[in-house]
Amino acid sequence: MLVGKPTNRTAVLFLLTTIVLMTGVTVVLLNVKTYSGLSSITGLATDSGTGTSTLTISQSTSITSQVSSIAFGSGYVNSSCTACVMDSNNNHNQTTAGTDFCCITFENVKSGFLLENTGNVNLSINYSCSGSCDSTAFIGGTSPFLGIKVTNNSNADQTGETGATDSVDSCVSDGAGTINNTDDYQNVTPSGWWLCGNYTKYSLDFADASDALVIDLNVSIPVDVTTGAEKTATFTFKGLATG
Amino acid sequence: MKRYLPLLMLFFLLPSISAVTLTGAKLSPIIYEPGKVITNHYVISGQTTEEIDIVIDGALKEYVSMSEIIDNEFDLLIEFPEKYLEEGTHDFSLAVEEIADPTSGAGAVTGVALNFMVEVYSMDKVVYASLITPDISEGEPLPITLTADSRTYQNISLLSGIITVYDDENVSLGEITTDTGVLPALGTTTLQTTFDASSLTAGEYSAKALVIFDGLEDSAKSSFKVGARDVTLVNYTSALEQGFGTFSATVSNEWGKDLENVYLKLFVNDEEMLQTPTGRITAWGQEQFEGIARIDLPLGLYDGNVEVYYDDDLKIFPVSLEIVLPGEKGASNLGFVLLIVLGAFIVYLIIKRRKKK
Repeated sequence: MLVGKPTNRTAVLFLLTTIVLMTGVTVVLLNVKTYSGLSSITGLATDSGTGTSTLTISQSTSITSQVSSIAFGSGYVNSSCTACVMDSNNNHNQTTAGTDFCCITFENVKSGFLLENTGNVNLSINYSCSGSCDSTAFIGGTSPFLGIKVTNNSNADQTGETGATDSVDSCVSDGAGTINNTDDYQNVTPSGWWLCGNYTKYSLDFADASDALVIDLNVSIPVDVTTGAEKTATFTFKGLATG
Repeated sequence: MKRYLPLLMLFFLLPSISAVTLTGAKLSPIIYEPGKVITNHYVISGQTTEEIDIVIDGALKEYVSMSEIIDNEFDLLIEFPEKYLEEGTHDFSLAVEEIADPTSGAGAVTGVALNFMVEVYSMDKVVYASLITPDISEGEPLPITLTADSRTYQNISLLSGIITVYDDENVSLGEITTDTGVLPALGTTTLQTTFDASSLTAGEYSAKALVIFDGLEDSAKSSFKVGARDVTLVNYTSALEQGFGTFSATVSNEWGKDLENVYLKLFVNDEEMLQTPTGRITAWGQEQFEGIARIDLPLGLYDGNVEVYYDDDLKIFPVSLEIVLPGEKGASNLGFVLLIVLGAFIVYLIIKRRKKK
């Protein structure tokens, strides 16, 4: 008996058919399992014995700032304005004079500092600042403003977390329930303050779904600001845990 | 004409990522003992700056030191003095911070700090008592565990407990006395006894322990419930889709033992719509039961019953159901059917092609 050599086309058709049928069978089996109430296969032991095992879990206290920089760049204030107000949360150029924007050539910053609890223990978070850490020192002019604010990343929805982006509000563990100054920007100060939790309430969870905060900065540059040497300000974000 | 001010530079320059991790065993709360020495090992990792700063601070920092850092690892050494400190909670901290490069302009770094709590107990005889009374089923005895934790640097030579059981209206139902024991300084002693609860019916109860130690007293409370062989319908699917609708219900076991052979039947207009697979509910536990019903009823609200069968018993719960239009689940079934049709079509093409040859 002569048997014809299968063509490439036939092989492809067979392959497609196999894929489709296997997918269908898989779907059927999954549905049967779901609707029949059959248990899933698990690693649960069905018998018990005796034995001794020791295991020590170390405490890993860890904090990561995932964002590289908040750089408003260089620019100038439109002389028709009293001030140029910018925010790191993608709210660039908040002030206008008629139809003209007040912030000229500055960068539109879209990301704040993304702080993530990357350890295995809850933390409280504070900040301190060294260098030119108030608005007068950092910006100058008449009525300058350098503000800081913290937001749950489940609300800010900023990408870049080590794990998945938070889906649950962070900073609510341990009963403190405090994200401080969520709504309003507060003046940056050298000594800083608690951004989440406090000395006794460690509110930033380590669970992946609720372990991140976004720290935004807001600056208001008066029109009469004078240019000068570049100023420095170093923020230290510290995570505190029980040791 | 617009007048522009000179350019203003405004940067917060940061390293690409900033992080620091401090790993070590947790010590707090540390129970203070005169002359006690504690050594704990730590590993620093993940830091993104070349230099780090380690700071020991707090009220007890004079008793804390650290070894040289070798390969980012060091030991924390706590050496308490040979004297008693003031009673209360004291603390010290260990902080590890990244040091920003001073030439990099403005920036941000991270740090971690550990706060160590040191409990200094009283020189007077103080005991912290706790009482455990588990939930039981009707007719079972009540095992009672009374634990006494020493909060003193003195030994306690005689310790005993009197446990009184109350009903939900705080009426005393009887009392029982534990054996006596001793409680070493900073130690823990557990006293166990059993209360005859055979006359207690299903309901909520409480127990109060009076702990007597060397002529002093402390007390502890706990509550427990006596369960009957009963089930409760916790929740159920109140909206069923026309066609093939999934119904699920959660049932709780009010009994202190497992219930076997549990299944549910759903009735609407006295017609049985489905029977779920049989399952098991652990003692005091909850379980969800699920099944698919073919729903041919018109849209609207209906009264029905959920019959819960457990072992040889049956309990009926009246329910209200709404029949609704098929939702997304219908769409997914349609996709499945289309998949099968597509597969069949491909098979048909292959057969047809072979016949041609």
